[in-house]
Amino acid sequence: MKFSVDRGKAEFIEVYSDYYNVIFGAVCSRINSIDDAEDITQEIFLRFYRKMDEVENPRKWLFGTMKLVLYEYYRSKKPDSTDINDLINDASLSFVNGMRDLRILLGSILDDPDVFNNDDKNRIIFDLVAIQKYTLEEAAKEIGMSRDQVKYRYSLINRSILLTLKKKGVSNLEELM
Amino acid sequence: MNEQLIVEGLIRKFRFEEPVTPEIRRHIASSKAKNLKKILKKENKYGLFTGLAIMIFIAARKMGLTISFLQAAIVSGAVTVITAAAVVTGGVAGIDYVTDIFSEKKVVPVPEVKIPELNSAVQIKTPVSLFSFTGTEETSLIAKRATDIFYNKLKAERGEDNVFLSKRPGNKGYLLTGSVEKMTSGYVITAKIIDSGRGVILDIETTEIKSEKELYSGCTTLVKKISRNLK
Repeated sequence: MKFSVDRGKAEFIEVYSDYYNVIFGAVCSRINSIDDAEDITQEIFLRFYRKMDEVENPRKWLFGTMKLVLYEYYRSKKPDSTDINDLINDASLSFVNGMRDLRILLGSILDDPDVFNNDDKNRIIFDLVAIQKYTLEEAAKEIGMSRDQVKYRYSLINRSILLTLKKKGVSNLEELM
Repeated sequence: MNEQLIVEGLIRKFRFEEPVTPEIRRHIASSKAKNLKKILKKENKYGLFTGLAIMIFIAARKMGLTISFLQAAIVSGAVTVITAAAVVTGGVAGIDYVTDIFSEKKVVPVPEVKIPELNSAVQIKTPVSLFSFTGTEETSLIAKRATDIFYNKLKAERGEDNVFLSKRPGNKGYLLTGSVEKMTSGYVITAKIIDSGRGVILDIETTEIKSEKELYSGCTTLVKKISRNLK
């Protein structure tokens, strides 16, 4: 029996464990079949495993590859479709004028690692709890933390987002709601 | 307003929300390890040890423990070694137990101990009572000399304490009697050994000598022949 674990495999397993729920959930929200979503998620992580050495930011890479694999999926399902990009649409297109600008601003804040204290775990907590509506307990189980740890981190993230919005000149948040 | 509610409200309002239903969340959670195994198998990176490490890693996470995969691998290695040692120890103990119960106890033969031949002086031997050799009138002197030679030779062969000059038969040991007869061309010496306990003649030996000069060698030959048949 071989008792050694290569470092690359260990890193992959950690990234996989951190992002599997986030990616699978994101794929699910874009297609109707859970079986296809599972296959697509597998394909994304398989590609990640093969390219891992070249990847600097796993989250960015995984979401970028998700779009690519979804594109391939739609192409295989609907080869006649003229604009597949419509299927992977950008929600900001549904907003107009100032609201669209606000959405773009909020999107850029959510993409800013500084807002999450440059901690991937914080971003994953936010993805699971705020975006995908996991409970704190569920999120804690998936990322290997206690519920209290997740709750504490989540409160810090929310505060950081609001502070950043204020710094960008968006002060009357309650009115926006 | 609570910060969390404001942020969640913004996420909802600006359509960043991608809610995953509880059923799908459960499916995702339950498929995590299975799909990881599939991916690693496709890349030929999956083995028994990796499987065990993954199991520990995911189980630890679900318990809220923050451990790295390498730490899980170390734990699984230790678990594997301890389990293997316990299985081997238990197996050996079990086999011994079953063997003890079901196997017949082997009778171990007492090893044969070969006692080396001891020097005649220390060897325990049956005592010999030597009676004076008989003879005719003309051989009485030679018979007396023959008795002396036998006596000395027997003592040398069997030890001083095991040879006695005797005049009447005892109950234990051997009786040695003999005679010297004059023949036309020499003498005939006869020696007879008797087991006095059983009343059995064990051996009779004779030899011829041409003259008195050969008496010593003739008696010596007879003593050797008789001694071979005695314990």
